[in-house]
Amino acid sequence: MAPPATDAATTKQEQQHAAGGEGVEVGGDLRLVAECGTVVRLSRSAARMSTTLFDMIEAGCAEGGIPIKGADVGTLRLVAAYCEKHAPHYDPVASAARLRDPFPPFPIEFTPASYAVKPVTQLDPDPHGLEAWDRKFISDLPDNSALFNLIIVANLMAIEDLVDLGCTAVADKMRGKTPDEIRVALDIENDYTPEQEAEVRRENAWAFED
Amino acid sequence: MESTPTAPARCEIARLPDDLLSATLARTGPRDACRAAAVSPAFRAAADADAVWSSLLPRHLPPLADGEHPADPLPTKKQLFMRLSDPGSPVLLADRLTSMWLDRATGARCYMLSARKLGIAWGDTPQYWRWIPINLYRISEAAELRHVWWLEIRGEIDSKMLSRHTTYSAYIVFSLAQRRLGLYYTCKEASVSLGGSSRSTRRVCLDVGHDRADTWPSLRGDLPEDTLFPRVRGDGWMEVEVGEFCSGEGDDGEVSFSLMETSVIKSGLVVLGIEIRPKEQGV
Repeated sequence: MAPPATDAATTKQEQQHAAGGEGVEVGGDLRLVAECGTVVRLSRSAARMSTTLFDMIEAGCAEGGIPIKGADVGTLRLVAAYCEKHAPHYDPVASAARLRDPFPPFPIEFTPASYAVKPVTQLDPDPHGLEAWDRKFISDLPDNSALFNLIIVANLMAIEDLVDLGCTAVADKMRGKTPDEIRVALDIENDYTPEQEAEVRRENAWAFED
Repeated sequence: MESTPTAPARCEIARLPDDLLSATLARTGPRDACRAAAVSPAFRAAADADAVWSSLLPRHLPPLADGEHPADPLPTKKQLFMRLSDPGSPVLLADRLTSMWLDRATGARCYMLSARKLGIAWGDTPQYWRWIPINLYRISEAAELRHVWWLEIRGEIDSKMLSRHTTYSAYIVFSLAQRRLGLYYTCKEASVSLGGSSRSTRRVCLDVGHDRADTWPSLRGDLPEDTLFPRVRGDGWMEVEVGEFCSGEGDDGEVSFSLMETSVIKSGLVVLGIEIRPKEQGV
């Protein structure tokens, strides 16, 4: 079945392109092409979240289809959904600063007591509800495979915030588990000899004290 | 949608490039990053990588005293983390009055403000306070109370030195001489304030034995209901919490601590310093 809409858009873009040298940035959606050939659209503002796409837009070579090598259409749609959701509140400077020097880089269960002194400037930690959306986004993934695909494609497209989210989700599956439990959760083969495993446990003895 | 194989491939996590596996392990925390090394040889390589431990180490350490940097720098970031998070051997800061270490479970920066670093009212008047040599946590002197009416101990630390987004507890670390006065039945007022504005005050008692007060209520005397009592530390000294505070972004100015009581004559208290460390998790 021919997709007439796509053809119409291409024609329109070509017309706008031909219309004049100025305004080459037509503001139309980007067309990401999955491994199977299906196109996934991404608005320009959402595409800012991908350093790779951002650079392409700046360089003026984001017209036409952009193949995303190794990405299946399902993962690409998820990536697009994430970027569209986060784009309105995206602050590249704040994001880069947070990712460069996160503390703590993993969740710590601190609930301050009622008498604890808090800074006057403490802001609402999730003003736009994005954290809640992200949690649902991750929990809606069907399996670990989908999560790994997401991380790999986000890494390929240099979407740092999504890589951070994905890696944190995998970390959440490991935290607090024994090595055996991690192997089961992530389907990993134990190719240690008993002597090697004992040596590693000795080396990291403090981590195994309960 | 294209068809997917019915049986998922084994060991899918092996598809993640090493740097992403390390980024994932960094987000589990120090204890889990060490445990993960026991999962498989591939995990061990990723878990021991500098990329993991660089992100668990603080980006900036405060200036250290001369000679504190080891002569041969430690080969890996993991070893550096383990060295800095060894609570038995903190590093001495440039002022030679404060020592620092990392909380091994969280990587948060912890400090011991030695007695000399604190502002002890009348601390330089020998008939009231005596300075005794010790050798603990890189601290060389403790303040021994001979006798005083006016007990006022103050300390402060710049919030920039603390780890961000952490709930900290501050403790006064001390010991009690055999012969002592004015500590059992009286409570002291302990407070913490952030940037000179937000402040919280609690009542603490510096003496022990009140645990028998359940059977002998008269032993509590007139101490308020919410008085905090000290407990013995692993190193044999005592500690009582001066207060709890949240560190935010580190731009809240000075965090100030104080302990005061001026109603009775007191003696027999030995002050080591004020320890600042992350609040115990799950409390």
